[in-house]
Amino acid sequence: MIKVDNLAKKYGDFGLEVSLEIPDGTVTGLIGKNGAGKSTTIKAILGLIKPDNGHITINGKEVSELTNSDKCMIGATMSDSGFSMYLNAEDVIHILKKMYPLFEESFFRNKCSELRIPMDKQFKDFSTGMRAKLRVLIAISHKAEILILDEPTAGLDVEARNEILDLLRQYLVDNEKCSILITSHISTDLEGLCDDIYLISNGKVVVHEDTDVILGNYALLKMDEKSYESLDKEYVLTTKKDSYGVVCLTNERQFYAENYPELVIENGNIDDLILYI
Amino acid sequence: MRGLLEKDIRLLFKRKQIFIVIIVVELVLGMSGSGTFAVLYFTMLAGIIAAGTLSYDEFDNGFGFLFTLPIDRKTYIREKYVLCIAACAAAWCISIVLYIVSGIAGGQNINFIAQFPEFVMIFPGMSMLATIILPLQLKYGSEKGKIALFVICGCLAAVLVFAKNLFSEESAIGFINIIHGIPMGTIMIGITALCAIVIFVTYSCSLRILSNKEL
Amino acid sequence: MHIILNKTSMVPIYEQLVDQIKKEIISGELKDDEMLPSVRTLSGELRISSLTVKKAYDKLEEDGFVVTVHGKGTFVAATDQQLAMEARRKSVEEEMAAAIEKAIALGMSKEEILEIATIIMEEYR
Repeated sequence: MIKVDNLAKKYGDFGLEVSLEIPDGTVTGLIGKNGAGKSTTIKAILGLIKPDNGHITINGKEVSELTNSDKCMIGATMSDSGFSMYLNAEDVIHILKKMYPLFEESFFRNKCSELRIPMDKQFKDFSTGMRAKLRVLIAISHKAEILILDEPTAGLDVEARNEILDLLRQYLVDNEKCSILITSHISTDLEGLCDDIYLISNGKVVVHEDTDVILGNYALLKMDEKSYESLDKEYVLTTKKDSYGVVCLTNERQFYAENYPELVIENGNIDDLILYI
Repeated sequence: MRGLLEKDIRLLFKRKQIFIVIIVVELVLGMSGSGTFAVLYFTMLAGIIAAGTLSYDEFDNGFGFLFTLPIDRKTYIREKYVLCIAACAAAWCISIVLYIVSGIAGGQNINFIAQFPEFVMIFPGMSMLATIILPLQLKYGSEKGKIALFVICGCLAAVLVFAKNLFSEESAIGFINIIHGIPMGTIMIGITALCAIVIFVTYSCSLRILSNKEL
Repeated sequence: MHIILNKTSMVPIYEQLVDQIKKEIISGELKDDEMLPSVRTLSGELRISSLTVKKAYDKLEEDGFVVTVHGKGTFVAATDQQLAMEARRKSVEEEMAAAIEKAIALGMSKEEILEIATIIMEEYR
């Protein structure tokens, strides 16, 4: 279980202040615009940066006090960094063997051939897709109980993204107790994987909701000015007006579907949340 | 630490051409008889290249990922020091052997015993040099770290020149006589101890710099 | 088990899951005591969140269709539960029959009765 308690971090003008909880066996998504604070949160959880305030604990232990063997149960991917470009997959196997007692060499090799990752090519000659797949593969090859993935599918085409998501899904099936914290811009990736979503905006958590509640109960209501005036706004979260009409975000789709049958109602999704909250 | 050593050794051996060049240069130097310089050069180069593995780690935000692996900052620094000192030791041994071999092959008169003290001090000396580079790179990044190194060497040279001008001929000769009076063994131990102290100081600096660094 | 989900439908996904699994149990495609896929396996294959599958399984258990054995899995409940469902359907049929009888007695035509039924169902979509 990852517990982030009032994590506070300031960078010049930007101030992060978040609290999150990822219980055992949960897949949690962290979304938000660029610069909202997702990577900062992840870096704090991984112990790469020191918070100004607040506590982060993993399985009850403060992150700053995790021993090296505690860290063996964490698998992480960073969006912008990995092993040196001059190494190749074969080198990485030997390095990981010496770092992780539970490293699974045959699993790694099999997956490399499945994912068409060459063993003797230097990483500097890898395509973006190969690099991304390798990063995730490294994280899931040592029986990690907690995966912390920062934008693992960024910049990839739809096929590569699906390959990675399927890798993760299979890992979840094979490791029932595993928890995942994943950040992404690509909402559809998260919709098909995460149990719950935290939306971070300007350094704060603005929404925390189960995925199926977002997909089932959230909706966009579209209407003209006149209809808006007579609308019961009790369950309207936000409203946006433009020259074509009014769009409202609600988390009680059923209410409006039952009481306003002529209203144009669109199923809510994570992108709508980002744009309309 | 074993994983880190594995990584750095693999990275070092990727540059096979450099090794070949160095060995050729060594053999040439050995045959021409300038033994001390050959050993010094090779050992120094090994130390600097080993310390340079830090720039591989730092490149392209590499530290971020590296510290998600099951290592802590102390282990990282320790590994770098072990690597640099081991590289210096290996290069030192190899270059001495090459020197002897090529000297004999080239028909040179090798007076090994006389040169022994110089050789012995090269190892701690160059290890110290390599370990000085480490905290500089950590603090200022590899690019600026190398510049910082040149600046420091330049300052030291300037100090020496200044000192030379400051002291008169007689006091310099007097000083040298004092040094000649001290037995060689004591000098060797003294210099080795000095190097060890400097290495220890740079180690503590490196630890402190890294623990405050945001990744 | 055949599950086809419409992710763009107005019907929430977990409801679609509950309905389809129920249908398979009633039709006998899923046999008594047969083990349903684990939450993670099913959510992985359908590409939805595990929580959604868990909610569906919980609802099915509430309605008596499945039984979850902690540590082992979720199993199709024995047939008497299905008989209970069939009994419930029977009573719905009887209530509908009574309402239609009343409507006919009032002089409503078949078309009018069907129209009312359609309107009522629209409200539940």
